[in-house]
Amino acid sequence: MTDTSAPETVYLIGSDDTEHAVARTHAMQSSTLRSILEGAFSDSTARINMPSMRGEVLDKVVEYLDFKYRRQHPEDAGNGDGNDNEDVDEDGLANFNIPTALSLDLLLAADYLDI
Amino acid sequence: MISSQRIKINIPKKADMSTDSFEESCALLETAFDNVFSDHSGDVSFEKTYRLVYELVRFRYEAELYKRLREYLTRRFQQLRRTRLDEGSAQDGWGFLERLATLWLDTNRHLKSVRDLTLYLDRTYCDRNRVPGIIEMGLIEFSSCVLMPLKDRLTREFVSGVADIRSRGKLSDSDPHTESLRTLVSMMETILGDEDNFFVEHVQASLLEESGRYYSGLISSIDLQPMQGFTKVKELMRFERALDRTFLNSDAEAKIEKRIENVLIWENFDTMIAPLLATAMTDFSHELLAELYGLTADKRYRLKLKHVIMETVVAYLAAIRLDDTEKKKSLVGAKWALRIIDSYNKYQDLLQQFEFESEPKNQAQKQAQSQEDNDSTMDVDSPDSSGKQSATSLLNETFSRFFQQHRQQSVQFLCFYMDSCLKRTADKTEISAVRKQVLECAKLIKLLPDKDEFTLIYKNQLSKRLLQQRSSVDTERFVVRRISEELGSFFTYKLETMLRDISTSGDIARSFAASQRQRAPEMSFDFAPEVLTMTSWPFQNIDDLVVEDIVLPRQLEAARLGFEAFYNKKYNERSLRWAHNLGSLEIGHQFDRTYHDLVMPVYAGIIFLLFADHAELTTEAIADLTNIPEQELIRQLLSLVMSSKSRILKKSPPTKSIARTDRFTVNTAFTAPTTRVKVQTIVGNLPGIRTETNTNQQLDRERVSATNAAVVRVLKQQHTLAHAQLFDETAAAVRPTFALTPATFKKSLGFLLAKEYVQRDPDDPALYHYLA
Repeated sequence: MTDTSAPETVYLIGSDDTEHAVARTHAMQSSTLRSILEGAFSDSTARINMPSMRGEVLDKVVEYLDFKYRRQHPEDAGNGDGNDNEDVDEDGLANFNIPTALSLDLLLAADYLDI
Repeated sequence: MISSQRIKINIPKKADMSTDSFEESCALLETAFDNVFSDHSGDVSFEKTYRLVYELVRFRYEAELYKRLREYLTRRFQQLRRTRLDEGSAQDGWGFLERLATLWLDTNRHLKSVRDLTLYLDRTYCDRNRVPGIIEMGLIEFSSCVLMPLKDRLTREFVSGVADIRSRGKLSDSDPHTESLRTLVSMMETILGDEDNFFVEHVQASLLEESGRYYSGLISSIDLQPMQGFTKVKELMRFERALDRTFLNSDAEAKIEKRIENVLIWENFDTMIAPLLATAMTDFSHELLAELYGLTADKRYRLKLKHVIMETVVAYLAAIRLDDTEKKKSLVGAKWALRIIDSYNKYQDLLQQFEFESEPKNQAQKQAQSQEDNDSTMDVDSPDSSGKQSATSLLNETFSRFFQQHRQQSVQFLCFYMDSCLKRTADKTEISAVRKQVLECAKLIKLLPDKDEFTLIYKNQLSKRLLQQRSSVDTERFVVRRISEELGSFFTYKLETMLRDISTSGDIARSFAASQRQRAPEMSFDFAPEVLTMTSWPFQNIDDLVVEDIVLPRQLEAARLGFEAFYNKKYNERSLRWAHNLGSLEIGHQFDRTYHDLVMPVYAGIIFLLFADHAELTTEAIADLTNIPEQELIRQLLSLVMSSKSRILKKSPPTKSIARTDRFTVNTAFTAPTTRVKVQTIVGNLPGIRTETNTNQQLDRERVSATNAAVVRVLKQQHTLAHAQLFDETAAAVRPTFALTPATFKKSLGFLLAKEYVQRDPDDPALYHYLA
């Protein structure tokens, strides 16, 4: 994948140089990411380096951004991509599973990104 | 796997500071901010800077960081002020304003970037420790480092900038100057001072002051006619409104508008607005009025306009001259009334789409107070609850004020008008037109202050019209019903009785004629007896009317006796008395050249009929043969020989007075262009119809007795009242009928004191007690 991709998608680059695609609208939910994307900084591109996070954490971050977006915009939720990590609670709403092993990493990431 | 039973949590690897020391981090941050402020944010890596802040916060440097940031911004803004505003300070005016506006826009952008970079600090530190967020803190620094030192200069330049645009006199959409002003206002409104925003605290007052001064100077320097002045003012206000809209918020806009209205409208009200309004009102220019009225929605202004409108209308009405070329007073009056009614309609057309402010509360309350004592008749003038007054109600108020000032005239002349209208209904062709006219007139009647006087005069006129069959009875009935709707049946009770008398008389006459035909089919004339209820008709004393021993010609006498017998059979409790002088005779006579139907009063007819048997008669002989009272006889004879159009008797010698020995013969040479000739009666009219003084006397009597009743009613409730208060309450009680004068009141009190209904307090002569 290259930088020529549509601006609707941005890529988060983890410390291990892995790329994680996320829809721009989904990424905007994080005020940190929003500041980057809206600002005029050297790294205000579609490829954002996140050297403080490992790939597996970023994976989870992206997943959560998608999940949160769907949760808040249920009208767009028609395109369910059958994520394995989703349960459905008694309200018919999906739950988000957090792998125990990553919980502390995710806590820090959530704080950093303000999501 | 041993660990499979346990929950395994990865411990994030200990994040070290990516820099060696706090100072080093700060230096890095400062470089980043420098780049931001010099518009080189593209050189700054967001992620790195953000992470720097993140780490500093995580290592508990946040308070220190916040302090450093603040110091940095202070330094930065001070420097900006020096380099971008103070430098080249000779460049004043728009240069300064534009620079400041640009600086403001830049600062906004830069502060936002700084906030983004220090987002983590902003998020975690500011709220929790109740310190202003990064942007707010930046604005505070901006205010204290840039705006406050420049406060006076900014105010001065801003105000003169506005003045500059005003003096150019036109606005263009993309004017960079108005753009700068808008930016600056939004800046000043963003920056908060101690109590309000910067604009309100420091600049607004000068701006208002200067705006007032500017327009005041402008309008007084050009000396214009009202119309041109008004156009100018309209233009200026439109311009100013458009200008203000470009850069001010609605609040400040309204304040400026008010200030300028003060200058442009109030200072010129008497010289400009008032004369124009008068012009609009006298020319019935709807357009001009609408413009004047639409100038501003200020309540005070509209109230004042309303007063001027009322004054103008009253003045206009007062200026309606009586037409002196007409000889008869009734015609003069009718013409006058027609013009008044006409004006009313025109003004109603003119004003109907406007809504007027009603008087301020306290006065409205007073009015309401007086209405409580009053009956409901005053309701028409009271403003409705919304504080607005309709045009009709305004006009009614105005006209009733006018009538108040021209009492006697208005009452009489409106009556004359009604009379002349109704007389035209005799030939049935104009009925619908007359109805319309009378309806219009009826609207004004309720505005008259002395409605009792109106009724009295109207009654006299009605009786004349009815007895002489000068109008259509149907229309009369319609009109009386209408008046009764306007004034209440109290006023029209007697009028209705009169009309009923006429129609009952018609019925009786018909059945009498039928019975006569059976008995004496050869009856040679039409006989139309009219039976009137004494008390309802305006004849004071029946003995003035009835002359018992008149000798009637044979046929008439027969009819009289026949009718008396018929009537007594029908209503045997009632007695009939004949008022011959209210009736009339129609006699067909062949003169030498032409045949004529002569219509004349009964007495004249009796005299004329004598000549069927006699060729020549002396005054004395006529008196003996008829028993007509002497004065009446002389009057009738004079009419028969003197009146220019209906001289049917000749007299010798042909002098202008009647002597007992004068001899009369039929004027056989008489001729006239029409077959039907009305024999005019010369002096005065039918007796029993009162002269003016008579009317006034009766009015006085009625008023005193109405006042008596009112005083007694008032005192019965209050028991004891002081003179002034008693007068007020009594006046309020009789207001629906007439306006109480002190003279009438005094007369009434004198009567009541004498009759001991009321007692004067022995100690205080101004105090009255009710005696049960």
